[in-house]
Amino acid sequence: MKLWAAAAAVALLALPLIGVDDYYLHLLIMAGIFYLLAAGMNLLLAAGQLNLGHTAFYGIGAYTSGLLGVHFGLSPLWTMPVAAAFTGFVGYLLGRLTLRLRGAYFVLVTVGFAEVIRLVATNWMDLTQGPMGLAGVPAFNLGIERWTLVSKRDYYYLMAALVAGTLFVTARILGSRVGRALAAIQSNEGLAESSGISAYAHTMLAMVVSCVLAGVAGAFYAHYITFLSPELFGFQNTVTMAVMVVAGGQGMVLGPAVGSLVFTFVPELLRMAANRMLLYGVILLLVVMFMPRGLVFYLRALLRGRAPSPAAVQAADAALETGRAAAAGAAPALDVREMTVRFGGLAAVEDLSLTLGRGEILALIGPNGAGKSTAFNVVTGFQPADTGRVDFDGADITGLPPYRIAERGLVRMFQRTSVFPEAPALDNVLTACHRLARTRLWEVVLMTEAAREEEARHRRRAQSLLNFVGLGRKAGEAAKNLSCGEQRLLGLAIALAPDPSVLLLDEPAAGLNAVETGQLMHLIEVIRSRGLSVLLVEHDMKLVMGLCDRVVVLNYGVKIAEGTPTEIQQHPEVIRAYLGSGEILADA
Amino acid sequence: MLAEFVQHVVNGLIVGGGYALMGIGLTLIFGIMRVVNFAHGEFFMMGAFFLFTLFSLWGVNFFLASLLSVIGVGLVGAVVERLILRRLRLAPIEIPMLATVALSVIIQNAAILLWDPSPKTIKHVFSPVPLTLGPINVVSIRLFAGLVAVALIVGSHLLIQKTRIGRAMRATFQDTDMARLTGVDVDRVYMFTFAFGAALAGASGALLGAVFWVYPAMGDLAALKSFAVVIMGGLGNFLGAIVGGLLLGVSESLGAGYISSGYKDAIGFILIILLLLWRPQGLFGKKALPR
Amino acid sequence: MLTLDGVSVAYGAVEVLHGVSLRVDEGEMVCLLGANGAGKSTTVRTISGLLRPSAGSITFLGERLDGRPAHAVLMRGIAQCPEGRRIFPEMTVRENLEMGAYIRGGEGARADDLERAFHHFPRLKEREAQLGGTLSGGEQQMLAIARALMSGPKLLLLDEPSLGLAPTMVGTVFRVIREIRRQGVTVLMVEQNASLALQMADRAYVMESGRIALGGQARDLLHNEDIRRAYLGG
Repeated sequence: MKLWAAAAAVALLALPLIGVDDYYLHLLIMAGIFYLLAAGMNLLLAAGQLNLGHTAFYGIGAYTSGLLGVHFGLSPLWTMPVAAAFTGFVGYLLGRLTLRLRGAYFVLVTVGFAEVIRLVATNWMDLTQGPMGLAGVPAFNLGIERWTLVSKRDYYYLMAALVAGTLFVTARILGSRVGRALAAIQSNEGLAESSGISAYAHTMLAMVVSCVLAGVAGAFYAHYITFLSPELFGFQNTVTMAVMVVAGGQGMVLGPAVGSLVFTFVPELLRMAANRMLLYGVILLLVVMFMPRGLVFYLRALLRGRAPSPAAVQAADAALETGRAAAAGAAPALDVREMTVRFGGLAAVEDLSLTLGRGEILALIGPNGAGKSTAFNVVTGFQPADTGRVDFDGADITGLPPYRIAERGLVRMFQRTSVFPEAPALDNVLTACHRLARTRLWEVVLMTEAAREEEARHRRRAQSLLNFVGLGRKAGEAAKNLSCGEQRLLGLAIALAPDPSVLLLDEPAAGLNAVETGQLMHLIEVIRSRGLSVLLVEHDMKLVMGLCDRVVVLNYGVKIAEGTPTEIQQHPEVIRAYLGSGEILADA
Repeated sequence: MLAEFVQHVVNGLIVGGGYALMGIGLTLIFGIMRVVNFAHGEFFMMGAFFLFTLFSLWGVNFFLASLLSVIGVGLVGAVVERLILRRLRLAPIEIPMLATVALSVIIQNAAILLWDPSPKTIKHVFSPVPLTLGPINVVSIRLFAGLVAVALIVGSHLLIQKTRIGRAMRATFQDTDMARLTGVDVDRVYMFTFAFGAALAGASGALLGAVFWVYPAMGDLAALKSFAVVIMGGLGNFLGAIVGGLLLGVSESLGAGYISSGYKDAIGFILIILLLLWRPQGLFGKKALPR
Repeated sequence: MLTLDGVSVAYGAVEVLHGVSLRVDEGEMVCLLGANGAGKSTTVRTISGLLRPSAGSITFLGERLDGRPAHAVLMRGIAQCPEGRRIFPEMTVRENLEMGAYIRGGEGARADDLERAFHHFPRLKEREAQLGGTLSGGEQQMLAIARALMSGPKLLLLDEPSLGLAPTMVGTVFRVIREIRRQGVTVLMVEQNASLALQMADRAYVMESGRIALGGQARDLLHNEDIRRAYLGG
């Protein structure tokens, strides 16, 4: 695929030199503008948020740069960056307002936002000249006579530079740990958060970058066409961008590029200018219905046959590096005090206190509905408690958001599906190494030595964790294609990736057969021997009795017993809670 | 002074009734089917154009034409659900959304081809001389529109609360799997919900089209406003849609009357932004379908 | 009456039920026991038509049911009272009961059906106009069972009826179940409270990791050490 793209790039760059007509250069420039817009939309969509108000930022960039040029006579050399930054800032403000909204709400509010901006632009005549449009925007004048852009060819190369820059930045972002984080947020947000990834921070980053790109596109447009009208804010533009993103291939670097080229040229060459929108509509509908992954996705599948598994990463060992566990202090690993959680009038958990000692394996058992999952949710920050307190390694973590708790070293493995289904196994673990990253964003984008070295180190770590759980050879396999037992092992590797000192395992043996359960028990033993402390919720009694140091029993949200496995097995209250007493029918 | 105020409010309530109808349809479709219908404005527009064609072009009786228009839009909705949306049931949420965006583009541009883009008026059967009720003047067509809107809103409420299909809709909304277990054919409920929502939008379009004018892009603004209504009232909240619609209508009318008519259309969105800053979950908070 | 033969079910690529075979004869009460995650609820959801088997067959009164949608299964005479009760929270008690009779058509449940329901569950009559979400756990369980009976089923599937209920409520619920049996309804019950379930049932199966591990007469299993071991290990 890369070879094709490189060849196409060379061809495109050579076009003006071989005397291609200005008309086609203009089309390519417009395609470039839309590429910038589509690339931004694509980036935010990678995190699962669809911004159907994106054209507003296009217009804001255009008018900001244009107005600064018209009223203050500033050169585009200055106004373009200012416009881009301002647009990014507006995006940040909107993000603060809306990113906590999910799915449909976000889409609707962004649409509404674009409409408000359009109405303001149309009605605030003093500022924007309204529907009559703003004329006289200065063309590109970089202050030096020689560097004033005059011919189409000059604009073409400037646009080519912008496109190249955008391609580079988006490729770097999507191909790095940031891209993995975005995909993780879309795929399984809870798991992403508990691996130390802040959904809000990453989505906001994507939002701001996409708005800056839109600002650049708009500013370029302003100084290229030199005339602006509120039509820029029309929903038509958004539809065009959406077609380019979806039909091109969402979530992929080349998707918007292919989409913008195809959907600028095809309608033009068909000379159906009058019905262009109708054509767009039909194509979008057909693509959405039959090819939702987009052109690039299917093309790639065609060209490659079966996607080759990434070469197994060189990792000598199946060792478990546990830096943090070894460095732990004297306080108990986890200390829960008098936790109470109520739903309506009912107490799901009542006055629960338990302590997990350092290097201990503690099981939390009890019949269905006893409150075990609720307790886990509170400890890991997914749910607030009404009263009570949770101390981790001596520090109070009550009420912290999940990704912060994960950052400190308390990691949870969820029930059943604790993986990112679409990604290969290696990427699953690699994503979870997120919180170990020390390099900053700019280093990642520029691919500095430090960033590359860190990425390689994390890959090795991910591979060795896969080796440790016994999935070494399945590194390239998509997680959803693994068997139930293998997915569970992968979930364990994911939980170990952020180098925790305490592991919370939620029914790790559910659905596993005897052999797989034995494998799991062995792994947990090894994990403990490396200094981690483990708290698990389980129903599989063989595992609990065979593995755990101590057991805490809950029933109806209340702790009814605590002790060694043997003590618990003979405890009359426990037997009654699990098997039922049968006395209830006596008085029938 | 007071008379002027009351006049604005009355006008606002009538238009607000139309917004409420659109909002009810949209919120039902989202609440039950989890689909954001971006073609809702086009159903609105179709109602107006069907009425225009049947009554103004073909001379069918006004009231019969109105009825047929509403039914016609409902049928289009049913076909769209069956052929397109049903296929996309299991896809991630942005896919059906984009499908409805595509549909809206197709329908709107088809309308431009079938009828030209110039605005038309529906010369209706009512006298243009305004009726005087106390301090207010109401043109008969507006009164008709207001009364029909009220009737439809009440009718919708009764449909959802008292009929078998209404119970099936509410059950599907509250617990889809359990609804299946009580024998509800969820596929049929989805199709009916979408058709019903479309029909309400069509009715709103026919009514407001008769009061104002008819043109292919009229659905754009109507759709955006119904989004505003639904966000204000809470996605899936029937009562919220009604209150939101009326509130929007009255605010716009007062805003146009006392502040500026140019920004009238922006009022809805400014209200939403203010509301979301204060209460991110909308006026009526958590989901509470048809009461 | 009901026969499952080699039924396997998969969630995506992962198989969760492996060749489950069991039967329920007319008039019997059969229990499905086992630890969490063993596959009991999955089995019941497959019988109801919410899940489709990837292999095997389900036969009820001579007809194949596997792969039929949920409302068709209900029409044949199998009603389910699901795990967690699943009352429609924003509907009144009366409306919940009417939903139970939905399959019978018509604008409302027949008056005599409703009367019969209230006769068996007098507590519900008191709360007729109350919203389902405001009832207590035990009342909700009553309502769920009454709702399931409104369709006049031949086979009733009960999924963990004692879940989350206080011990006295559990007693009441099980008394009701015994009464239903006396009326001739066949019951397949999933329960965690093994001791109680085995006292009421004729036969039982124990599931483990998606398979049937044990099966037999209830009174034999009641004193069986294997059961205790399956639940408590050791």
